Amino acid sequence: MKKLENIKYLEPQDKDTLSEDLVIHSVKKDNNKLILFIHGLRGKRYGASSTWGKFPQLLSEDLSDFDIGLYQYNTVEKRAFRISLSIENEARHLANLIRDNLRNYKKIIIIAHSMGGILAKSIIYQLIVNNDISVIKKISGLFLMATPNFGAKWIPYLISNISKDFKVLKNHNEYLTKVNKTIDNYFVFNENTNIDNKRNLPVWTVVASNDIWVEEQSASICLSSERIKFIKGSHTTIVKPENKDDDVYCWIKEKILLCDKPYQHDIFISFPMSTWKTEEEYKEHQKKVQDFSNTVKVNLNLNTIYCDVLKIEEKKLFETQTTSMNTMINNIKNSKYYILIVPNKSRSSIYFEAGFALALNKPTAYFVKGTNKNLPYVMQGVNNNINIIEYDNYDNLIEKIRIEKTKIFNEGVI
Amino acid sequence: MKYDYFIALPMSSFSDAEFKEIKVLIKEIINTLKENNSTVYCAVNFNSDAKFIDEDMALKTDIDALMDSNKFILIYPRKITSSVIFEAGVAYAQNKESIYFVKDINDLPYVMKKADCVTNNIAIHTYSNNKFILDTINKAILKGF
Repeated sequence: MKKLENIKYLEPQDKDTLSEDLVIHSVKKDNNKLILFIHGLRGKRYGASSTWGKFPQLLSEDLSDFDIGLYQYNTVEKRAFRISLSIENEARHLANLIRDNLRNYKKIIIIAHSMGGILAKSIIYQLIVNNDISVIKKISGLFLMATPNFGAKWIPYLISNISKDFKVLKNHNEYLTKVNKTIDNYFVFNENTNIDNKRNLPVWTVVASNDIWVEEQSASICLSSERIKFIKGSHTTIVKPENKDDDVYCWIKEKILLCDKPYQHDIFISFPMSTWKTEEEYKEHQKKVQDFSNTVKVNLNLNTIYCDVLKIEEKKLFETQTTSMNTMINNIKNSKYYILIVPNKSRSSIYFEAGFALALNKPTAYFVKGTNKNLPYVMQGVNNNINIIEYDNYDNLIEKIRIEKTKIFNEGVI
Repeated sequence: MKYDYFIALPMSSFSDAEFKEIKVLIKEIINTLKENNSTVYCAVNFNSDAKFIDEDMALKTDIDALMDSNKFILIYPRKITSSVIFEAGVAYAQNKESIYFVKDINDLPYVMKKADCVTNNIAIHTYSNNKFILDTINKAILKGF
């Protein structure tokens, strides 16, 4: 792997003789997010005939918080004359690179073209098979551009064995089916739907209108329509945006930002508001919630917290400025984690909110004063996604956050 | 879905006398729904004076049953901290068609008070007697609930 640090994206002068299969371009120091490009059959990362054209440069200019990685591997005739790997082994190699050489990146978004999409999925397959959970968690988005997800019909059975590439591109071949099935069972292909036992992998596909190599059906896989972009152009032109107004460029950039921050808030905190009888009581507890919120931010290294109590300044405004159900719904939906604080046994909307969060499978922590018996009984049951933490008093509540940190959520904080 | 209807009621809020009365009502509701070939889940224990089928079992199965039900009926006779509020939140998140029966709308936690204005999936009725609940459910069934 080679890392190039410049103030702007520049193709390396020795691009034709570079032996490193992975080159990282960094225009800012200490970036911990990476966009990784993987070309397809007969693809090339640099030069006038490169797969991507200006694509990496444009993204580097607009999204300087991301490093840009370009992977190069041998395909077709190069396989014949050089030592080369099957897609399966190429995937093993790149999966290891991601695990070891790219370990400092917290988020990796993959943009893959054509057969590069099969390689990208094979990498993910390898990570699943090896149970490399910490690496899987880093894969924050996958763009499949004109990728033959089920293989390509133009590879007839008779020629499918003459090349390693053709073998993996054969329509509905055994390897692809295995990879697709494993990934389908492991992930839900969007950024914010939580489903039991499935991880999120936001996936988008780009389909070319005049693609003579990859059929539309194979390129679009089983994604909902808003995740598929149909672009005018050929198999190779759709991956070469000319400028920043280009349709495909704008769409992918927008989706990268969504991968980067799929939720508006890191945490939604439910805290009972109506139980405090006087303005003084309300203010006092508002301060405590603010303090709690700050402690959570610092100790869990999170930025944005939503809590009604922090939005509504005075208790008297509470009844008139009633937080509507819609506000509650949108804010819970747009939060990655959910925290419930139960300081007393009172009838409150917080339980409705907790039910809503449970149904959305949000990673959750309930902080209950006293014992968990102070929760309504169905909430006392154990659920993998919910951690119940008992506390004695306010100081103890803050202390629990300081001690437990990210462990307040069963799966930690990603 | 395993059940067509999930009936939620805050059992611990009833006095023994009230509970006997509500049991009769729930049985009638269940019979009415079953006459329409529907399956119903309700945690009420009809075979003994105990309120719950089994508290430990309820803890494990209530939410699973709710997730596996099409429609949600809530009977909320008074202001009380109860699992039913939590269950209503689950039902709402899952877009289940719901009917809330309340004695006084102000007894509901604030986000639920105007729930019927936010979605067509929820109807809120105030009731003064059990007969009203049964009649309303009968009418709702005729309308396709």
